[in-house]
Amino acid sequence: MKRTKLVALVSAAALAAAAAAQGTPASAGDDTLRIAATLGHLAAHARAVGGNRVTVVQLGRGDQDPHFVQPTPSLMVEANRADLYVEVGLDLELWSEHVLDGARNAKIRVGAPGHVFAAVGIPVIERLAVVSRAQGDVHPNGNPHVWLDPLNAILEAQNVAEALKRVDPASAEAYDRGFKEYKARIEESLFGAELVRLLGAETLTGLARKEALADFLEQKKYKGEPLAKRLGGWLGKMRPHRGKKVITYHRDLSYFARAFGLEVVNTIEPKPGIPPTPGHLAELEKLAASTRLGAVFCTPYQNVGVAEGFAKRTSLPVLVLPVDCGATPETQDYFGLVNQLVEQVSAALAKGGTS
Amino acid sequence: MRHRGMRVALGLALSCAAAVSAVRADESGASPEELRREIDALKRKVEALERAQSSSAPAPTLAPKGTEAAPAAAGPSSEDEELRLLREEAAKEVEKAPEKPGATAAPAPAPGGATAGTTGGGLQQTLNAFNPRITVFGDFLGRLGLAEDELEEDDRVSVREVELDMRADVDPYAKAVLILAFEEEDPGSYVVDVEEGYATLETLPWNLRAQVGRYRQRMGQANRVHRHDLMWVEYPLMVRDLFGEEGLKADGLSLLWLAPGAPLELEATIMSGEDATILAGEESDFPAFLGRASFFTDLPARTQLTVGTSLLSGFNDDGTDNLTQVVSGDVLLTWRPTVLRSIAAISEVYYLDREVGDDLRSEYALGWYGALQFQPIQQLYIGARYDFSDYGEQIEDNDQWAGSVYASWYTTEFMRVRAGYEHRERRSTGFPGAEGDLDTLFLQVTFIFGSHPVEPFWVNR
Repeated sequence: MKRTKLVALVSAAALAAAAAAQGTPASAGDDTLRIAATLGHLAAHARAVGGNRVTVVQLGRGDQDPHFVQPTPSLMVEANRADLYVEVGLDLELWSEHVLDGARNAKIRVGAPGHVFAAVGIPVIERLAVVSRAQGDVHPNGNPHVWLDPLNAILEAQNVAEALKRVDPASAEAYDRGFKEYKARIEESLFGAELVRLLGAETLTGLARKEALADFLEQKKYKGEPLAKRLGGWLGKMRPHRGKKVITYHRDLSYFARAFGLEVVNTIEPKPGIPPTPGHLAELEKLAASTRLGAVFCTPYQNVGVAEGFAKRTSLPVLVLPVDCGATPETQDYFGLVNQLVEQVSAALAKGGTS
Repeated sequence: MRHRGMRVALGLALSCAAAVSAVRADESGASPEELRREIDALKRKVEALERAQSSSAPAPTLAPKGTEAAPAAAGPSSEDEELRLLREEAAKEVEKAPEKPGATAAPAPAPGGATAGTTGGGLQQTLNAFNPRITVFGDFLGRLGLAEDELEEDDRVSVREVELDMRADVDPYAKAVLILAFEEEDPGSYVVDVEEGYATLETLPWNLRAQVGRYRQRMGQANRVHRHDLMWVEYPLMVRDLFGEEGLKADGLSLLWLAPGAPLELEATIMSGEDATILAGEESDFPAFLGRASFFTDLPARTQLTVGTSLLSGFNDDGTDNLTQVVSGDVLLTWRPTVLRSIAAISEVYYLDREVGDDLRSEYALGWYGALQFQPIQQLYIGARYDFSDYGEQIEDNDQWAGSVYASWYTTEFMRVRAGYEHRERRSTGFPGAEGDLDTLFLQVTFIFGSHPVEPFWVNR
């Protein structure tokens, strides 16, 4: 008798849950495409490309370490409602798999049309020949912090646009248009409008990708002046600082440094993800004494106190840089993010005056 | 005008050349087919010359094939010529410059948007790629009993447990996890146990997810966490008293439902009734049931709250139809103002109602704990826990409480050292040997190698 009651109780609960599941709409009445983006810059790309056709939710905070976002149930609820899920890939967001599993949304699982790795096709740097934890918390597929090179951001946005076309083919033209406008805006922001008009964005991109742009612009003249004088945008602003040496806390600014011609001579972390040791900091101090360094860069989610202490001992300026959209009120979109980075870095390096 | 004259001259030259060729052909005896080929070759030369001639006009497309055209300048001038040459040189430079060293393109997507590997970007080319991701967890513990009364496990150091965690996709619909535990059963003697071995169905309709196999049951919060991932060295007293030293794990089938757009998850589990600590053990001939509801929400100021309740119902070994029911409630609050500071507060209460004897007399037990943890700097977590449990082998007149403090230091995210102290007072009239105070010092070292696991809920990075 008691067993019968127990089975009846459990069955009733299961039926009630199933009925509730069927009776609840899968998504709100909003007819825009819902996008869940793991990180702030991906959300910014999606908003720019999708325009008013999309509603974008950002899962990780802009000032948070992208490696270590806690996959809370709240994030799973957001992913559950998404039509498209965007992540960088390259083993950056290891927490993302848990969000996807908890989301119970077959549309956005890896391999489904509604899932996209934004880093696909991007030239990855710092790929190690030998992968071992003895080298710290390394990424076997290379450095995943790709988006701080604006040319990589274009490729990320292109991947997002392709994914949007996949899940919403009826609006493909609009997404193509959105991507084209976004790409043109990033290119003009990077090279300056005049140089884009003179040489064309694709040629400039080709040169920049092969790290031949700076030399070409310095060597070639137009109307009696080096072409480099016509370099505008972010690269124009950073031009006086090319070749300057800096120290970063982690390898999350490698793409930025490479794009803007800065040389990262060492990191505060002795190895990726390994907290600094007194011995390593002493080595860095020796390096600072023997090398002309421009500044020390760290991000809001790193141990700023350690970076500040080191900078104080070596009389170097220390910059706490935003590395993703939403890290500060000024970095709500990709342009705000790179503007802020370029402003802070160029101002600090100009004061330092090293080369 | 100049161009037209050039074309006329070139046409005349072509005609002359053809005539001369014909005469030569006659003289040399060449066939008409050979003459036609020669004329065609000459025509191509003339066209090439024409192209070269017209290239002095502004050239709109100098970028490599397949790329966007460089913008055209207006009207022919020396400035335009300068620009044209610059563009030409730039295009040549793009072609001739060596590839950027050290840069490799992340792999292109497969049809449907998938890329190689489940974490994006792996260029795996062998069948080894299908092998599961493997992580090994090691848990080393030293205990020192300070009081007159001591437990058997005090005053020794040992590798308490090593876990081998393997996980992979089964097919497009399911994932699987196998966790083998090498546990110290007696001093220096280890047994291998299937800590967990389950598959999850990930693509069910109606926001459902299913889990089948052997796994830690979602009874409260702490019970779901593996021992090496706990905020403390041991599970709370009430969890251990109710479910044994390692908490409740059982073979079963779970259905989990996420409310659409709402912060609520419901779970129903049918599990084996063979747990010897709380259920019928080997005598079991009927499954047990576990239900859980959890509500979670993000509060202002980067605070997250989870509130849950669980109900376990199954037959015990005291008679044939005697029910055991455990109800628990749990609250977890985390506050992460920055990645370098955090607070985690957790509390759970358990209530047991067990029927015993032929007269189905009920026995009750109540236990709870509350813990608070603070992260003052990035790598350090310090905390305290208070436990109360009035349940032992016999319920009446058998209770204990404990207060503990601990500090956990992460040398890196892969290794943690924890030191702790616990004072415990036991009161029992039911059975001998379980009375008296205990004072214990702990030293625990946990290490992880292999693939990168997700951090437990209380870790903030």
